[in-house]
Order: sequence, then C-alpha cells, then structure tokens
Amino acid sequence: MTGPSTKARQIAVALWLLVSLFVLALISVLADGNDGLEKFLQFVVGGLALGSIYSILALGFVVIYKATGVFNLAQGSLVLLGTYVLYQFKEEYDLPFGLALLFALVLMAGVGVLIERVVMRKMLGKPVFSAIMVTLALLIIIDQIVRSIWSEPGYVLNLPWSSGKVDIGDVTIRHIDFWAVGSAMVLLVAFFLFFERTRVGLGMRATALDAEVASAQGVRIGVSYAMSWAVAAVVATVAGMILTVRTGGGALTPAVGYVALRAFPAMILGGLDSTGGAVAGGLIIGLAEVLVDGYLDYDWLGERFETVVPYLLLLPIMLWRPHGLFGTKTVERS
Amino acid sequence: MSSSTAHKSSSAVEGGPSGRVARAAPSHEGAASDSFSRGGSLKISNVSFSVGGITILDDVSFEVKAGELFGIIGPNGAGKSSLFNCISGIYLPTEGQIHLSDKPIVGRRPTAVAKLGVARTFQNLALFNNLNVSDNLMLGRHRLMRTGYLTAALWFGRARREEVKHRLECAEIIELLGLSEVAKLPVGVLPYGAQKRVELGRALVSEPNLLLLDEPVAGMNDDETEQMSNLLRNVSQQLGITIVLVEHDVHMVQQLADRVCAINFGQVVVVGSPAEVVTHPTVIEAYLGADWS
Amino acid sequence: MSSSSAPQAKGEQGGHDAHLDAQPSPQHAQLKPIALLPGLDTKFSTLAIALIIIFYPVLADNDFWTTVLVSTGVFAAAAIGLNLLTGYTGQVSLGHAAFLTVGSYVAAYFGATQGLWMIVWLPLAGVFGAAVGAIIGPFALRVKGDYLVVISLALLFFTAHVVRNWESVTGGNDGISTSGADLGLGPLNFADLRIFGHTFTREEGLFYLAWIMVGAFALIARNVVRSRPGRAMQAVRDRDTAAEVLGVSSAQYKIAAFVLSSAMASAAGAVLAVHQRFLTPTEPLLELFVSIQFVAIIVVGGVATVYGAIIGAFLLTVLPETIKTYTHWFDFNIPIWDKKLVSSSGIEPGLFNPGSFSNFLFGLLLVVFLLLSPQGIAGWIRAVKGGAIQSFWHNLRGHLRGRWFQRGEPAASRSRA
Repeated sequence: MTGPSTKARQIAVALWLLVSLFVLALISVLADGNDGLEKFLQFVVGGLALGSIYSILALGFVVIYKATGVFNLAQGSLVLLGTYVLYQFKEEYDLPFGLALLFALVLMAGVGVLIERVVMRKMLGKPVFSAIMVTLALLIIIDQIVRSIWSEPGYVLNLPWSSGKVDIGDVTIRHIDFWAVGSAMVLLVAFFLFFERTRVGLGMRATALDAEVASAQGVRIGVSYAMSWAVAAVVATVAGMILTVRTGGGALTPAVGYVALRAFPAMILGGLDSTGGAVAGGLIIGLAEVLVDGYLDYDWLGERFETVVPYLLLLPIMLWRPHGLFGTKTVERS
Repeated sequence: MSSSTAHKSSSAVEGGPSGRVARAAPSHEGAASDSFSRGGSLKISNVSFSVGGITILDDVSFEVKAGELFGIIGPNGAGKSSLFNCISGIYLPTEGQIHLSDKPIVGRRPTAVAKLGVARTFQNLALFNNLNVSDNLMLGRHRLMRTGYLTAALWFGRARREEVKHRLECAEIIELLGLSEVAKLPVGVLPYGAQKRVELGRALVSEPNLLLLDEPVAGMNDDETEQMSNLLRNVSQQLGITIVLVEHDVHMVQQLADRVCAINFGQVVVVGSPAEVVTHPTVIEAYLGADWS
Repeated sequence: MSSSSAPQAKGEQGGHDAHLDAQPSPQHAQLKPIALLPGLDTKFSTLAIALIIIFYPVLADNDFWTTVLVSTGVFAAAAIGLNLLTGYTGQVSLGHAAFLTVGSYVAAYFGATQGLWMIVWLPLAGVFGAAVGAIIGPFALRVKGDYLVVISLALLFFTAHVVRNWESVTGGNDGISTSGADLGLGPLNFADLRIFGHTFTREEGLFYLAWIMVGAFALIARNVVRSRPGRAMQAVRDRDTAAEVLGVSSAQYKIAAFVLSSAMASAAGAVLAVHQRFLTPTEPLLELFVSIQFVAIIVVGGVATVYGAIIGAFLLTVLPETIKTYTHWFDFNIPIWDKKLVSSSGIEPGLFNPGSFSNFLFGLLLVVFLLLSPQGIAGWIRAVKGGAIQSFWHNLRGHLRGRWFQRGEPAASRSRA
C-alpha cells in the first residue's frame, strides 16, 4: 500500500527536520549573535540525546507491535523494573558495570519472556481492547511490585560515565549524551538487520502479518512472540539506565516509568509498526521538547509547558496522517 | 408494482418455506404496499475504478430499469463487488457517473446513498453479530426513524411509539423470512443460511428503491439456493423493488433474472437476456477458460 | 480497527436480557420494544437495590462507609458514561479521568468561587464536559484503535497543565476549596437534608445526590441503548462500513458518544469535587491510573451493560477499602524472606503497604477478569440465568438447520403442524 511512497516520505521528513532546524539556527543567530548559535547547538545536542531515549523506548513498543500486534502500554513499567534490577546488581551486589548490565539484561529478557508466556499468550485471539487492558494491568502490577521491593528513598545508580563531559567549542556534550545517541543508532541498525536479514526477524514480521500462514511456513510463532517481549524488556532497561543517569544524575525514582507516557507520542508519531519511524518520532519529540523549553519562555504558556509539547505536536500530525508518519494503514481486523 | 409483475407470471409458491412467503405476503401488502411499491432505475455510465495503479473497473456502462431483476455474472475478481461498492458510496469511482432514478450518486457518502433508498447485502455477511435478529432489522429501518438522543432518553411518548411501530414492520419481514422463532437470538449464533436471510431482511425492511445483493446464495447447497431464488422472485414480484444481483451461480441467475450483464476483467462483456448472455462466445470462453465454478 | 477494538459483548445486553424473558409467542415478543428492566428477576433486584440505597443512610450510621459509597456512586455514574463510549460504541479512551477533572473545577469555580446554585453549576459541568468531548470527537473519526488510545492520553496532559497554570480559576498548585458550593435543589438542601423529621449529615446528603445521579444516568443510558441511537452506536462498534451503508453515520454517533460520555463523567466529577471539599492538581500518571480504573470498572462489571458499570464501580471502590480494613489478615511474614507481605502499620518492613497492596490486587483482578472472564460479572449473571437457555440455543440451532435448509423432505408439513 505505502510501498513506493514510504521512502519518499522518509526523505521528506528528514529534509523537513533539517530545514526547520536550520531556520531555527538562523533565527537564533540573528537574535543573539554568536552566542545564539552556541546556545542553539547546545539545545540541539540536548534534544537529540533526549530524543534518542524516546527512540529507544519507541523501538521497544514497535518490536512488540510488529511481532504480536499488541499495543504494549506496560513498556514504562519495564523501564522502571529494568532500571531497579540494574541498580540491584550494580550497587547492592557491587558487581562491575559490564557484568551488572549483562545480568540485568538477561534477567529482564527472562521477565519479558515470562510476561509473554504467562499472560500475553493467553490473550491471543482476544479483542485488541482486552490486550491493551492487560498491558495496563501489568503496568499497575509491576509498578506496585517495584515500589514495594525498593521502597526506601535515595537509591543512586553510579555508572562509570555518569559525569564525564566533552567541550567542543562552547558546546558541552556529556558522555551520557553520546551513549544515548549511540545506543539509539546501534539499536536502530540492529533492529533493521534483525527484521530484514535474520530468519527469526523475518519470521516475526510474518507472524504479525498472518500467524496462521507463518506457522504453515514453519515459523515458530511462540518463539517469535517470546523473543519480541524479551527484546522489548532489554531495550527498556537500556533506556531506563540512560534516562536515570542523564536526567536525575543517577538518582532512582519510580517516576522513571513515567517517561514512557511521554514517549507514546514519539511512538505513534512515527507509526506503530515502523522501526525507522520510532527513531524519527523520538528525535522529533525530543528536539521539540528541548527547543520549546529553551526558547518559548512565555508566562502565559505556563510552567513545564514542555511536558505537553509532545502531545500538542502529535494532534495535528495525527489528523494529517492517522497512522503516523511511516506507519502502514492497518488492515481492518474483524 | 405493475411493471414488475407484468413480465413475470410463474408462481414461486411450491410448498416448503416459500409457502410461508406466500401466506405472509398478503398481510404484508396490506400494511405497507404504498411505501414498497416503487422501484428506482439505475444507470451506470462509463464507470472506471482503479486503486494503486490497478484497474478494477474499466468503463462500465449499463442500465437497470425500474422494477427489474438484473443479474451480474463474472469470474472471481472481475470487479463485481467493487461495482457494488461504487454504487453504495464505499468506493469513489475514478471516472464516470451513476444515477439512481436520475439522481447522481457518485461522490455521496454511503449514508447519503442509503438515504436515497439503496440497500445492499455483502458477499461475506456484514451483520451485527452481537445484536439479535430483530435489532439487526431495526437497524435497517434506521433511516426511516427519527428518534435522537434526547427523545430516546425521555423514552415515553415519541421514542416508544416509534419503536413499537417499526418493530411491527420488522416483525412482518421476520415472519416473511421464517425467522420468527430466532428473532431474539444474537445473529452470531445462527447458522449461515439463516444469517444470509437476516441480511436480506435487513436490506428489505429499509424500504429500498434499489436492492443490491452480493452473492446471496454463495456457500449454499442446491435446496438452499432454490429457496433463496423463490424468495427473491417473490420480493421482486410482490414488492416491485429493483434488484441487482451479483452471482457466481450462473444457472440461478439464468432462471431468475430479467436481464443479465457479464463482466470480465472489469469490463462489460455483454448485456442482454439470460439466454443471450450465456450463449455469447466470450462468456462461453470465459466459462471454459476461467474459474466460473 | 475500530471493529477489532470493539469489546466482544456476546449477547448484547438488551437483546439478550429480553430473550431471557422469552414470551410464549415469539411473534408477539418481537413487536414489543426492549423493556427498561427486562424480566421479573431484573425488576425485583433493581427494586431491592433501590430500597437498600434509599434506606442505607437512615439505617446505617457509619460515616466511613457512607463516604466510600459516595465515591461508588460518582464512579458508577462516570462509568455508565464510559460504557456508552467504550462498551457500546467501541471507542477505547484513557482520557476519562480528564473529564472528571473538568467537571471538578467547574464545580469549584462556578459552585464555590462564584457561588452559583447547584441547579446551575451541575448542568454547567455537564455542558463543559460535553464541549471538551466534542473537541476530542473529530480525532476519533480520523484516528482509530491503538492510536486513539494515545490521543486520549493527551487529554490527561492538557487538563493537568491547565489546572496547574490557570491559577485564577483553579487555584494552581495551591488548590481550591469546593466546600462552599451550594447543594440546594428546590426545597431540598443536600448539605443539610431533613426528610420526615430525620436529619442527614452532609455525607449522607451527598450519598443521595450521587445515587440520584446514578439512577438518572442509568435511566438515560438504558433508554438510549434500547432505541435508535443505541442500536446505531452498537452498529458502528461492530461494523462501521455496514452501518454506513444502512444510513448510520458513524461520524455522528462516535462524536455523540464522546459528548454524552464526557458530559456524564464531568457531572460526576463535579459531585466528586464537592465530596472531596478540596482540589489539588494531580500528575498525569495518577490521572491515567484513574482512567484505567474506569476501564477496569466496565471490564469487571461487564462491557456493554448498564448495570455492569454500577456493579463494577461498587466492587472497585468497596473492595480496596475492605482490603485496607482487613490488611491484618495479610500481615504475616513471607517464608524465607524476612519481610511481611503487608505491613499494616507501615512501620515494620513489609513488601506492601495497605495502599499499594490494594493497587496490586486491583491490577491482578483486572488480569484475571480479562483472561478468564472477559464478559465480567454481567457474564456470570447471564450464565446463571441462562443455564437453561444455553442448552435451548444449541437445540434450537440444530432444529433450525434441520428445518430450513436441509436436503430432502421439505419441512413444510412440520411448519404447518
């Protein structure tokens, strides 16, 4: 359906982003002189870093949606759980960072598989509405479990690159920002290769399109479904780790799961079933949030106006393209 | 009414369920003959429809006279259902015009087309499975009713009166179709044949000028087909509704239709009497060459 | 997409219930409109519940449970609205809490700050809610299913933002008092109710106000779903293309469902505001939690039934309070782990505190219902009442196949008999 035009649209959106960034840069230079440009670049760096975190979160949504057709509202709680599990290994058990991360990712992959096998598998063939509701219930359950197990205040996650930074001219880039952008890019490429080149990835796509046909073709559907949840949980952990270090300086709060609520716009902006769209949506929302926070400093907009920016941006775009910028029009499921 | 009864005289009443039809019909005429007695004419002029670069309908033209029972035959994927979707406003033809009793209908939304009195059934049944038979038929009368939210919320008076009146109308069709005993069951639990009749009933109660039937006997055995044919003949004769019938089953169309149009690869092959059409060389070739099942 | 997200309400309420009350002569039964309360059992149980509600404040002198039951009423009223939208029209929304917020602040501003009468501010809350619903409506036409869920989240963020920042009306972060709002209705004053010499407290007055609202909304909802607009909504839910072909405008009914449901939620929110006496802004995450509660109410109670919303609201408001009251039951040490399952005092180390434990159970309850009993409690009621009817259906199905479309002997002789 969207075959030939998807590529064109991707290029158009990328161009539009670049042009609007350029125009913004021009305006800021004209307004504030040379300082203006540095200020602007600083915002762009921040926006890209934040946007990358959104992208990573959105990738987690997309992998489950692509493979199982389920819209996973519990992604935020996977972020929450993953971050605390990493904290547990790193700080409480005092493991070196690499080992702690590995253990955390493996454990979270297990949690993902467990959720899929115990709960989501039973929702196959049920109305989409029920599946969404189950993920919401999971959100509540996981949230309460995390709040109960790690109930004391003041946990801090210290990572080797928590506080480092690099100065390029007058623009400061924190190491964590590199990690954020780098992880997003690596994951995007990995996802692309996975879905386009590997047997399991292709099988997952086939399963989402038509489970029966895929099964007849020898795709092991159960494996596909479980894999997608495992991958989503792993990705969520990475996002949670970067987010915690970047915004809170490593201080853990249950509110880290709240970021997923702000990543929803990123995800549907790009289109629920598009990995490229997830990253594009994430970057657009991240940039918009940071730039609005930096420049639109008007009282009448209210404090913390940037929190509603993702949704303000989302509404007109969804009216224009109801399936996101790169999403495919879903076949009516009856 | 007169035009439709003139050219069909053979009786369909030969025992079985159609006997019920015959018994039910007189009482029906007494109740609602005025509103049911006019069929509309349909004129398709040079309609083309393509999607994603694929031409599905290519310059299709034909006319259906008021009160006529018109058949459309053609192999799978010939564009029959797409033509129906163009008429009922689901698809927008790329070119051409469609007139219902001289009113242009291309560009109208499905709701607007329905308001002109076009009713239809779907190839793969489009019933509201959670609703019971009676309510499905009541939805057929939606366009003839007035009750809005406010009136409905107050209930007593207008809403109730209207509800009673229209349920009475539906009950007659339910009786006519032999569905009385299952009228309160959700349609989802009914067997396929009964569902087909419910869908026909839902189209009939809307007091249409034009009835579009998309494969009404698909998936039915010989007896079921026979019964449905009798039913359609009765509807055509006694209610005078213009019927356009898309059908795979050439024999059924041959027996039933006044005139037939054969479509292949989105183009009209021939329009004429059933005898003319089935002896047309291209149609015969298509019979042997393509899948006519 | 919309049809896929439509909850599978097997045996839609009206038709189903009407069937339970099967008349000896089906021909006559179909002529009758669907009854408001189909069947004697429904009529009696409704009467019994109404009597319990009327006499509860007179007989029970328990301020705590009266307070809980006021919230039950408010939640039931709002859930009836959501059920019209989600259950009957198939539009999933997680923005329902936002409409309650709108209504709450309408009550605070027009009721408490401006000092208008209740007969003004309560309908006004409905009107404001309807207006916000009408704004969201067009998005529902264009955006479907999963995408619409996220769009509805936007409402939570927007209302939270407005509430935080529009200080002159909402009090901003400092909050605003609603206790000054008038609660008079003609000769009755719900803040100080005196009937037949019996004096009721403000809580008891609000109890009556909330439950009168539930009764009114249930009546409206039931009347709507058993007549033309209700059928049209269900048609749009099940198959919107087929509905359009019948002349049912899916756009019109989707928007109308949003307007009606948000008006109900908003009016409920207004009463909730007066009940709470003081409003402060909440985070969108908490609002989301409230929205989930509403969807949970209709899932647990029974999708696409009016009484299900009331049962669901009752369970999901009374159950947490009950659990909190009886947390000492769960106040034991978990084997191996040196922690209590629930620490009722909140001082000793416990896996849960009473609040989080009830939230946890709420999530668990929702999963259990969705997995095992997607029809909710309404489904149980149907099953109990329909035990005999179930087998009747099966018999009838077989009978029907044989009778109408069977090879061989026509069934004419049987039909004449």
